[in-house]
Amino acid sequence: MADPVTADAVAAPPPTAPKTTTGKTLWVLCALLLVTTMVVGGMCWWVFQRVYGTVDTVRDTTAPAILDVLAARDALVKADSAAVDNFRSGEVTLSGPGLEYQHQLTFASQRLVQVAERNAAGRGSQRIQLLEALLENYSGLVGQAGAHAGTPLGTADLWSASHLLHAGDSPILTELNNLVGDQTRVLNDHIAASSMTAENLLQWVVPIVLLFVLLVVTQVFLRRRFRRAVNPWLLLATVVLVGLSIVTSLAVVSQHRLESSRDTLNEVVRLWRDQPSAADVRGQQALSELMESECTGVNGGCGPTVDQFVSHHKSAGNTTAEISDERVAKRVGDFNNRIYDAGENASWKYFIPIPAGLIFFMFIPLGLWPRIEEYRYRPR
Amino acid sequence: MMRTRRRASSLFIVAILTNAILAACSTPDSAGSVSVLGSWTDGEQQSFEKVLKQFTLDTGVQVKYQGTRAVDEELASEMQNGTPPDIAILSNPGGLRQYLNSNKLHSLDDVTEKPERDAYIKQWPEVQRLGTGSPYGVVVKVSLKSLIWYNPRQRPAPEVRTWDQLVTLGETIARTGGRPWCMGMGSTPISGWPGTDWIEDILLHQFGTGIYQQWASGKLSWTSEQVKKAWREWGTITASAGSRSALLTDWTDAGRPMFTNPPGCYLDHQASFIMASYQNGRKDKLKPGADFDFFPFPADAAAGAFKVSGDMATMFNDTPQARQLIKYLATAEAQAIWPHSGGGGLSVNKKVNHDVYPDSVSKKIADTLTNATTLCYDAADLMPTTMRDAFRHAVLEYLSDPNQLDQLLDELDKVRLGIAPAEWLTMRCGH
Repeated sequence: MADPVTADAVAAPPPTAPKTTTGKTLWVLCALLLVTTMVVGGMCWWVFQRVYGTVDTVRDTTAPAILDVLAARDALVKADSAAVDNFRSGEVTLSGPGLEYQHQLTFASQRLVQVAERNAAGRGSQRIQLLEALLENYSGLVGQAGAHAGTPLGTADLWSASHLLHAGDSPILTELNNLVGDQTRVLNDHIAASSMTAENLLQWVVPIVLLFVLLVVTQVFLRRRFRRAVNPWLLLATVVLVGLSIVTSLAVVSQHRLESSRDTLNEVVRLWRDQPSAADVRGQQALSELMESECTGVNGGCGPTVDQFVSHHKSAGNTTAEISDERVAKRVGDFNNRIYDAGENASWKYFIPIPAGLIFFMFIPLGLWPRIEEYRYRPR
Repeated sequence: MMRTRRRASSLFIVAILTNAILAACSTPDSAGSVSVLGSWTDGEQQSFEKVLKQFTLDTGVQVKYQGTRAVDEELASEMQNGTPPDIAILSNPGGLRQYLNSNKLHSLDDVTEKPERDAYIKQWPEVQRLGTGSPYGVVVKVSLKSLIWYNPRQRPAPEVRTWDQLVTLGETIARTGGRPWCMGMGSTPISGWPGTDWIEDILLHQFGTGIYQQWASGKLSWTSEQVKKAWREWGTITASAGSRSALLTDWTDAGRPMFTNPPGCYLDHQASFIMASYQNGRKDKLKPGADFDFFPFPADAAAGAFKVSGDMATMFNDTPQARQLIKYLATAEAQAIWPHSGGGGLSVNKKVNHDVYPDSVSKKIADTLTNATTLCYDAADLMPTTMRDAFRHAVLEYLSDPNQLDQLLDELDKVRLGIAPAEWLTMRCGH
């Protein structure tokens, strides 16, 4: 059977613009397919970039900054506990507050430097500077306590230092809490900014659906006009589009994992705020024993604040604190796994331009160009 | 048709502009905001926030108050970052003088009006000038020092007019088996200041305002006979108070044993702000006048002189909102909210009616503050920060070992001589 379209084309005069309705439709369909492919490619890239960009920031910057603050506080508590232990055991006269105290204090300072490098919160660097000044006060007091070791003044200095670190209104604790609060807010804002709202979902899904519909419509049009069973290039484009959609939907899964890791990290921060660590409890118990031995039999005593502190820490066990430590460690592990899982598919980002490029540069031109060529010089 | 379209477009633009203007006017920050840094937290912060709330209601200016115990460190950190608060409220004119010397403070010459400045009791404008010719601060809240507190339920008001009578009173109490003095130096991270208050009071009330002023302004040696005697006299008090207990007790706890049965101690040398500590954390609310009252520090010289301290609002950023707040804090209206809110706040504004004070003891303190013949600013607060800190440390060292007094005074004098004369603040006692 002769192709009527080819026969018409032979008799066509040489003008460049398509003259027939079929020719115009082919041009319109081709343009629409190309533009929609560009939009689909752009949107898929945007979705990927948005999610995995946030995963990178959270994994490499904001979350480590939060964990560094927690580590700094933990190290400070251990330093304080080590210093009190040295005083209680009497080692202080020979070794001062001790090597463990020095080591933990240095570690805490290093963690704060790391926070400063990773800081993304507005007032973060100012808080770190203030914390460093307060830590100087703290270490100054411990140093004085060491110089007065074995005297009531030494114990008073140590009590003041420990109070500076542990009291409910402790400026060090307040600033550490504020610092964690700032960094957590930044993290939550980052993740909220990358989350898929209904609007974002529509921005991503609608072009894909539109391209899919356009490919189907083009296939139907070609089938009706040219009586071809199926255009293999456009069929290939449709298959690649489905593949591209599936790959892009991995970003949605990663976003979900990212939100789950945020919840885990928020839980770590909450546990850290609500429960003292085992080192904290041990240190405060040791201090209460030291204060009790110093204040027993003293004319006038040491006042209700010291009495309440001694009676509170005397009865406090550290089982709850150990359980809390284990929970914090486990949740930090969970967080690390989740944030790793969230970034697992990030390398697919580099795949997106390939299918989008294939559809744009190869499948659509190869699928439609021969038909357009046929109509190029045909009069109405 | 064309004209109708143009008219519609014009109406649309006008509507959008009107909407934008209305939106801008209705935002809460429309009158701007002012940041304030101060040392008041908890109850004191709540009292101050009442003052600030009234200011916002009156002016629409939002106030961001940050209260921290580490106010000196916070201010230093903010200054280093180049982001100081608009207003900082500090209690040590000596430290403020250092900021003034480095041109960080703004003069309030054209901020507070003369009638407002004249409303202050005479001593205070001088404090506010920080030793210069222009005002640099507004005293927001003051405390009266040189007070000795006792429990009227335990013993009647003692008739004590001289130092010897005070020492005898302590000995009498000790003979009956009681511990005469309540004492606590703990005040992290500035432990020792209750001891500096003692030495200042002894020096002022035994040697008079001239010696006190010379010493406070760095012109009198720490090794002088007068200063040495003041330390030794205090040593007789600490011996009966128990120096070990004093070192390990928090200053807010020290006076509490006055209210136990039998009393753990009988006399407490503290400033007017101790009233809040007496009353805090008790199920049975202590009644000022019935459960605690005060008598003035006995004076061999400078009779009728009292030490005072205060919190002063100073301007680090000259903004219209900061000016508005400073101006407001100086008014009798703002100063009256403080004492009425409780928390031990006193005003030195003569226009504040003493009826705003909630109890008879607070009224008596306010009357003393108004009628005292001489008021001297707390010497430690006038001293440069390095000197003040060394003074506090020396107090603790002395309590630990009174035998090292000569060595301590030598070291304090070395610190004094190492400070540049420009850093010292010369302020006369007055009224």
